[in-house]
Amino acid sequence: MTTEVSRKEEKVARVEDLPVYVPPADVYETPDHYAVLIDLPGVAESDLELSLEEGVLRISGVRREPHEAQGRLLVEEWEPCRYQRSFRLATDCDTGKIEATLRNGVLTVTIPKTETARPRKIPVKAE
Amino acid sequence: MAFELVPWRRRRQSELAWSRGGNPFLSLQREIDRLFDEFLEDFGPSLRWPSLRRRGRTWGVMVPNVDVSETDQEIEVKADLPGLDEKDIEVTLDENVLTIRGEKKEEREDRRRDYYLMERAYGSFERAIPLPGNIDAGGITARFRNGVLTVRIPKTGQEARSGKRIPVKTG
Repeated sequence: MTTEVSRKEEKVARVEDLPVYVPPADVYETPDHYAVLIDLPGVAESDLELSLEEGVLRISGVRREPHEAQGRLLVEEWEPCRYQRSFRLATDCDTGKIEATLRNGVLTVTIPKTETARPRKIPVKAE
Repeated sequence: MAFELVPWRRRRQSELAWSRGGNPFLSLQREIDRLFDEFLEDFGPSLRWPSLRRRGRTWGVMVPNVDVSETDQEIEVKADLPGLDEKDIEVTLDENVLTIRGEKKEEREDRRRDYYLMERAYGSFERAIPLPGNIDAGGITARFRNGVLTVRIPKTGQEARSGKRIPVKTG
């Protein structure tokens, strides 16, 4: 049991050695934007990275969070890890206006659609 | 929108002191996950499909992941509760059983939303963690931060009394 805990602590020391998990996500579209919601429990804002490259939105977060009690592990259902997920954005995304918020362990990324892609009413003129 | 394949690490098949006596459905789910992993492993890395194995969830039902650790001074319980507010979490101690309850409300009522992926879990959940007798019920603290609930239970030499609600703090 003690080797179990020390293995966990070692892993915290080197981020690149942490196991990689694919966090669950919700993705939806509305008439004027797309939204991506990802569960990232235990990830601090400073350990979260978002990047956009060649139309691919990449989200990676590190869950460090060592056990404060530093004792014997009785139940282990999660571990320090890296969360990674990427999404290819649709061509009608306005990539300059992407917004991201992290709250209570959930990342919400809002991607507005370009002006031309949004639905709009065309006024009809009477003659 | 496409999501890419990222290989995930096979879970250690370690024997942990309490985990076998937990939620039988969760144990079954984990066993199925493990068999899936082993089955897919035979095909090599190209066939590992992460979404087949959804950690901490039993097909859409919220079953939070919990870690329990112990030192000579205290027991620490950590539960993954992403997307909940501290006011939606209830922590109680009764008959030396620590119970974590909560409900994550459905946010998907909006009809203008067309979903591509719906993997996150919603609904109510409850997990009960049996504790030893020598705990200080009055000294229990609960903190909620970044979607993780941490409950710390100091140990004493005395037997604990029953029926206590523990306030959850943020930060």
